[in-house]
Amino acid sequence: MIRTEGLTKRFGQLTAVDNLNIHVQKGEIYGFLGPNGAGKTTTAMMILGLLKPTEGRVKLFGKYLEEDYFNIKRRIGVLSEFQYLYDEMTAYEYLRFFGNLYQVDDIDKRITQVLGLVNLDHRKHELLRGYSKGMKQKLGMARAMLHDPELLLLDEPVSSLDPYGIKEIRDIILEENRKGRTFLISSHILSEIERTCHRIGIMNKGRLVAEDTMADLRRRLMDEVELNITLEQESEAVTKALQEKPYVSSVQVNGKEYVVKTKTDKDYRGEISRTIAAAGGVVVEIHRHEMSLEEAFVTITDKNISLLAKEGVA
Amino acid sequence: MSYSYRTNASKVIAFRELFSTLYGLGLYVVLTAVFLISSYTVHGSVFQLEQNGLLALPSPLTSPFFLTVGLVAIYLGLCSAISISRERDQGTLEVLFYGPVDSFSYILGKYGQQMLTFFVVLVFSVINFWLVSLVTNFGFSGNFFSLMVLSIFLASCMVSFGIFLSTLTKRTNISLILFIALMILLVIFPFARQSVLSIPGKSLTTVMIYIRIVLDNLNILMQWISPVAYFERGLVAVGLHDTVQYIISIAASTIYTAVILGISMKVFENKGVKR
Repeated sequence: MIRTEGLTKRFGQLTAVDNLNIHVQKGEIYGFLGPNGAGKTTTAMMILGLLKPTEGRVKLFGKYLEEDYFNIKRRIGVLSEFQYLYDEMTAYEYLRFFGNLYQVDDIDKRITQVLGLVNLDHRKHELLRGYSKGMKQKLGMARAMLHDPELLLLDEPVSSLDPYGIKEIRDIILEENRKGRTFLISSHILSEIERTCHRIGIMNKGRLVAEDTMADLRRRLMDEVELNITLEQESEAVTKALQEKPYVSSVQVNGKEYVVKTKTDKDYRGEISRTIAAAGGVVVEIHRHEMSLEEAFVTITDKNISLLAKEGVA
Repeated sequence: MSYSYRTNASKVIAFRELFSTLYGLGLYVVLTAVFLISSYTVHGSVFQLEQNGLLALPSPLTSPFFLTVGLVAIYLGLCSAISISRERDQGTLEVLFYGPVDSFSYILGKYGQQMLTFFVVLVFSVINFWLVSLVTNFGFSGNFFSLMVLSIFLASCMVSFGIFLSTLTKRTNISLILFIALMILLVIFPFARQSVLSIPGKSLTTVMIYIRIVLDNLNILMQWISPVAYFERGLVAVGLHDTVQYIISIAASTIYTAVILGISMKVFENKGVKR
């Protein structure tokens, strides 16, 4: 769906995007992450043809934008971080204008559908100047989906929404993805990316520093697995038995609570349960601590910054 | 295929803005003011007729009509000058370009909207002057209709000039100042040049001769870049009943519009759509 080929953008001395090669596949939800100034928005602007790359090109649906500008644009829906609306219009008029622009068939029916999706159908005849930030965000989502696009580029889609609105948008994304729509989502709300995206690309200082599924990112980043174990009671014998195991790197004891770190090559929870039982302990609970996207994001960007600093880039 | 998409985008943009203008108050306030000013000049002719029993002008409705369309053309030029920069300023421009809109269709849409507004104004003006004609019993001359056609091309030049200025800047107030400053310059320049030309040759210093040469060259340049210059040529042709010159001035206005809009598209592409 989207393939960037050595995409680079320089603003004078500053390299905003550096030799970016990403590939968003049909039917996937791709999360685009990065700290402020990482180059995410610049990349999105280049993908949409709103900013000329210094080097490299972008292919959308297997074609360069200039090869079939209008047809490609009609297959993309975009939701930007900030909603710039025509305040003198009502939601209905606003969507009708964009419906005409995209030459949507049976506009009225489609407007009713998309406003229903974002729960704004009862306010469609109100002027947009009276809309709250969250409502504007939802209307932006309705506009992005109005022409039934195959690909949706969403920049911070839930940033202005309350928890209920966030759930609404998340459900829409997941539902539309099930229908086959492809998403490229750029967001700072890492938990949302974690919940919705199949693959994640992490940008830092204009470079793509990691690109993988969430599970693979975790695997690559975690040196050891942390198990939080609750025993019926504290036991010296259990501690000693665990420490003797070659796959256990450390054991921390805090009363009945044990924190055991193991190698990442396999799941050792079964063996650890048996070891504890053999040492006379009783396991009440074992919890495997998963690395959150937030932790992965910080780890990756920190590592990348250190690396760039060594290279003299940062 | 891209032709039909472009046409559609231009049409949709033009009509959205046209309805926005027609539903707004600004146009009607300006029209009312302009009609009051033109009515005042008609009143002058009526007054003279009452006082002296004769008409000073052979066609007393022509000048007020010229004043009406001239002022409206300047107003539309001003609106054009802020139209793109305002949309860029508000961020709505970027949203439009997410979709099937390119610089060609956008600029054409903006031009189309202002010209459609002018046609609406023209209809109002004709109705107004027809009513004035009924009240005063002043008739329309052949010049009136020639001027009416010519005014469309004046508006076209003013609008394209305004659009060009709007592509140069990213802020609405800067576009506004630029347009007003250039209009003032266009008004002041002929007077300044005339003042220098009126100085007798013998009393000219070297500096004054140099200024005269610069002003003469600037005048030649003005004849090419000023949106009003093409209309002035048309006016002269109407006055002289010179059909060939009249057609040439209309053709020149059309070429001016096309060239200025073409340059505007290029400038717009280079500037981009970001705020």
